[in-house]
Amino acid sequence: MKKYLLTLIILILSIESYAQKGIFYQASYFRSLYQEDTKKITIDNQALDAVKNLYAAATIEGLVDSLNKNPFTVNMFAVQAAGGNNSFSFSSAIGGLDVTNLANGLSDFLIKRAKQELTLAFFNRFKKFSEENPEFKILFPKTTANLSNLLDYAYPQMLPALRTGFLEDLKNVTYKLDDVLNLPRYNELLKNLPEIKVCLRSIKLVHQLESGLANPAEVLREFSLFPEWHDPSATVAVKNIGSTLGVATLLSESIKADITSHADSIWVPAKELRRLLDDEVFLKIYVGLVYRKAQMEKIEFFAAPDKSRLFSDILLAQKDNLLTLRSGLSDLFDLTSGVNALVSDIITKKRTNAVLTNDDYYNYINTSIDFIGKANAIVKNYVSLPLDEDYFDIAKKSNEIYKDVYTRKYAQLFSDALDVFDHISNTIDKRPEYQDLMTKASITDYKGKEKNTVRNIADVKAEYTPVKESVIDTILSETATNANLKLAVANYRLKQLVNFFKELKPYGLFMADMVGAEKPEEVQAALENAVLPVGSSSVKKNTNSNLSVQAYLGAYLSNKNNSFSSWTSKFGVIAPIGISYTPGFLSWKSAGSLSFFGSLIDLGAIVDYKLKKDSTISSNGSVNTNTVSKDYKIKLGQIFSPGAFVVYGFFGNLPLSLGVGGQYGPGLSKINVDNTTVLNNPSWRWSVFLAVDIPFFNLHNKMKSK
Amino acid sequence: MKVIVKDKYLNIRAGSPSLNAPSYQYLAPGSQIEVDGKLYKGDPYDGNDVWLKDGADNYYWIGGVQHDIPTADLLEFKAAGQKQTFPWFDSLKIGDVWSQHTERGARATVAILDTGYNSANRDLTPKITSANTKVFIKPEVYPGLTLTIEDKDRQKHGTRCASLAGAINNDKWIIGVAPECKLLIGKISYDGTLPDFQYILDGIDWAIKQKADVISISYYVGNLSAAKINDFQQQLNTIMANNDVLIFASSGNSGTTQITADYYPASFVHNNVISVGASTLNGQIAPVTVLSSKTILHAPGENIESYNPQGVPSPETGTSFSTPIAAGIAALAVSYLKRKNGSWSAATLKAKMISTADTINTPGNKKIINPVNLFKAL
Repeated sequence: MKKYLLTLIILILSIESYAQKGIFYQASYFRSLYQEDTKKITIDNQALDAVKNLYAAATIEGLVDSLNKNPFTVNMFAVQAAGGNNSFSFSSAIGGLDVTNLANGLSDFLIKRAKQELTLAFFNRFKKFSEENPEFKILFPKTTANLSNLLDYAYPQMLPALRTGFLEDLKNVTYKLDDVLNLPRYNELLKNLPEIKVCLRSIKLVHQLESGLANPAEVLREFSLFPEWHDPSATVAVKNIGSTLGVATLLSESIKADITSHADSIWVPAKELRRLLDDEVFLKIYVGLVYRKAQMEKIEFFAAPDKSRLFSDILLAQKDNLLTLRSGLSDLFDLTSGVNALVSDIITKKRTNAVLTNDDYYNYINTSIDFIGKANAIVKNYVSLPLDEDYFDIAKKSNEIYKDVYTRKYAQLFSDALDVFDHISNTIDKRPEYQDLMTKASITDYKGKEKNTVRNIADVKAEYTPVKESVIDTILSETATNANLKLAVANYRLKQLVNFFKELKPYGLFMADMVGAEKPEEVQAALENAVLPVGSSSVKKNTNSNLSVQAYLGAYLSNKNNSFSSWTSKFGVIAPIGISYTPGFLSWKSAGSLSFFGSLIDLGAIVDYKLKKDSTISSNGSVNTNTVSKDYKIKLGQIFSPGAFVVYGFFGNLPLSLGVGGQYGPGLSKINVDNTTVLNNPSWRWSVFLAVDIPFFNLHNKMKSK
Repeated sequence: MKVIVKDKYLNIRAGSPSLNAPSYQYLAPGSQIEVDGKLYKGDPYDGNDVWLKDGADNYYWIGGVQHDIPTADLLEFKAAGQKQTFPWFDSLKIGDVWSQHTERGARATVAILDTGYNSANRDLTPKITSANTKVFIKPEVYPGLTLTIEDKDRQKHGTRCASLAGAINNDKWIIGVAPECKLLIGKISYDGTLPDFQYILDGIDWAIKQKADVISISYYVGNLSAAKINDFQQQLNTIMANNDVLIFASSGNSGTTQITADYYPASFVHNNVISVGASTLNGQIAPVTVLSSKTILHAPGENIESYNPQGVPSPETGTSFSTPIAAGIAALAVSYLKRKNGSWSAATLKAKMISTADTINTPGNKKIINPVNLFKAL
């Protein structure tokens, strides 16, 4: 999807050759006409064309009059009567570059070899999840189709198709977000939260940048033209970010490079921009023209919904003190060299037929986004108004997704994709009308049938609790008389969406892991990770009710004292596997949890064997470097070890547990240095153990509210 | 044109016609070389200092090749000395006029009304005395500035115009069309602006009183009211009455879009006033020219080399530079007529300058000045 990027960058540059130059060049032109002793800029008819986008003067006298009324350039201009040429050529040309040989670096991601054992239960759960969530069907259409056919095929044969589907879906997941939000259930969400649309558009814009449909300057312009900035329901913060982008766009376009002299750049080189900053007259002319452009664009900032101020007026207030703006411009201009260098590098590589790497594009995009952020920072320093800047993070995260794809970090890709939604959620949560929605009288005094549900869904801080669609319909039927109910439903829908993504996460990560796995053992690891990922020991510390298949691996201190047998030793290895139940009232989040664990088998002795095999000590005290390799068969009776424990899961999400209890057996015992096994009779053992908590998978779990 | 390497190997000299210039390659006898046909002065070798050049800026000693360059051209080239000429000068064949009519403007006086002149310029200073200069701009318009005849303009506009009309060409290049003419320098502008149109009229009056034959004004104003135009026209008529003087004035400069307009003083209705537009070296009206029905005569105005603020030739574009070139040609003609006939008529000369000019195939009977034809008609 990146193979056309360079083609399109060059196309855009070609198009630019026909466009008018930016304010930098216009200011530079005027600066060149400045006479130091008279402090006048003498201009002739050339100037009419040079700044016709800013001043529609018919005569040079009219233009001089207008320029002299610009508060930044009062009486600086005069009509040139001499017939010398104030040369300022707009003409330009660019040679076409052959870009037909760009390789598609993403086409060979699919691996051909894949053999693994898949767990039927897991796939069935996966399939069920896909069927129950229309969002999943939209986001992962190929995977959904593959899963629906799953029972018709044997898993091993199905795996390549599944992986292909995973990859295709993951690559396109951000493109599908629009469609998810077009589901009828999210109508209220879109109506009441223009930020959502903005976020989606932001992501699309990064895609445009990735696929070369625009250069950073053009993306900025597109960004600033989002209709949502002017949506009546948009907050002041959202409107201001739109206005900030307008200013950033204005500044970006003011320093667009002249491709006749800088064909490989998007913006004027930093060195030339530095000249502007170091020259008071030049800066004044430049700001004057920027001011003029701002006047024309009527960029408006809001302190409150009914209180706004034009950017041109804000600029005007700085007329006699350009230091602050100069400083901000300096920071902004410093970034241009980064973007220019990257673009130049890409074009140079093409000219020399060097291979373009995805990193080239990634860096190009990332630096471009940095530029946008920096432009935003200028305005933020310049005007103290409510602004919302999460959109830049979303844009940047989307670029990370691109990198994840081309670096084949599919698991990371999925995490990043989910992060985009977290950003969206965080963005929405900041809106003041949602912050205090639950305290509004129309909510607190609501007497309808579903009053408890209404109060719950109006609480932005409350954890998501599923509500029947019929109940939502009932609430929506009353919105005509209570507008805040719409906000409450929108809040619920947003939580519902975020919850969907939370539930999706293990499946998504599994898909990502599968796509990223190139070796059979990696595929196996992906499956194991999906069954219950690392770190899931914390589940039981945040649950309202958890039942899981569980193992512990650690050391015990028992009531026995027979060193001959590992089972009857005072200290030893314990590795019980069984069922664990954690009730909500014993789940204390960061303070830990208390669970009831019933063990069925214990692999302690086997584990003991594994752990000791590299360090067995011979009878004469020397280290025995020969590892134990006896063919040893385990029978069920030798590991069957029923028992019961009360287990404390450690605080701070440490995956350690302290257990107390007893168990019977097993018959299996110790392997000696000489590889002889010593059987021991089963017996009850009471012990305390300190072990690593290794959940296998949840049989039932209900998460606790945060 | 093609030349052929003679019977000895010939070094290719890169970058300059010098025996010390780097030579990365030599050509076998019989090799053909495509050269630009011009002659270049370089290091002498075997008594010959003429070199040829190809399109890649490589030089070839002319003694090493067979060529078809007429001996007369070679002799003329050698006679011209080391001075460099520029395309606009060559296109007008001013050198031919000088040599064929032994005329360099010695009997003509040319007034340049502009921003003054650069006193450090070695091609102007020797021929300008303080008595031949006058400042017309008013101190109250330029508070805090000392107003002298010194050219303070950022572009040295006055110096450029004066040098095109009458630089004595003592330096390594040829700029002045009438190098032996007398120059009068009137300062009507400080920096290219014209705060008061009256300065122009005052300048014309002064120049005429200083016995100027030709006046060159590279200024134009477009926003005069009808009443003002009428007033100035009357003043001009009075000043010019019974004086044989030719005024050359710029038609004005367009921006990127060529415009049509009547600018002044070029558009004043008077037999002795000539509006000058800019032409290209390939015989077209230069886009920079403001089109006007009052403008018939055009002279080269694109990339015209004249003295820049650093005191060396550099190209500039505009009707400002066409005007003193035309004035310089007129000065040659005036001087020639004075020498030949003892007198001259401004109206007749104006008519001949226009009638002998080359017609451009454009509406409005536009023409480009042709000094060679003009001198044939004198």
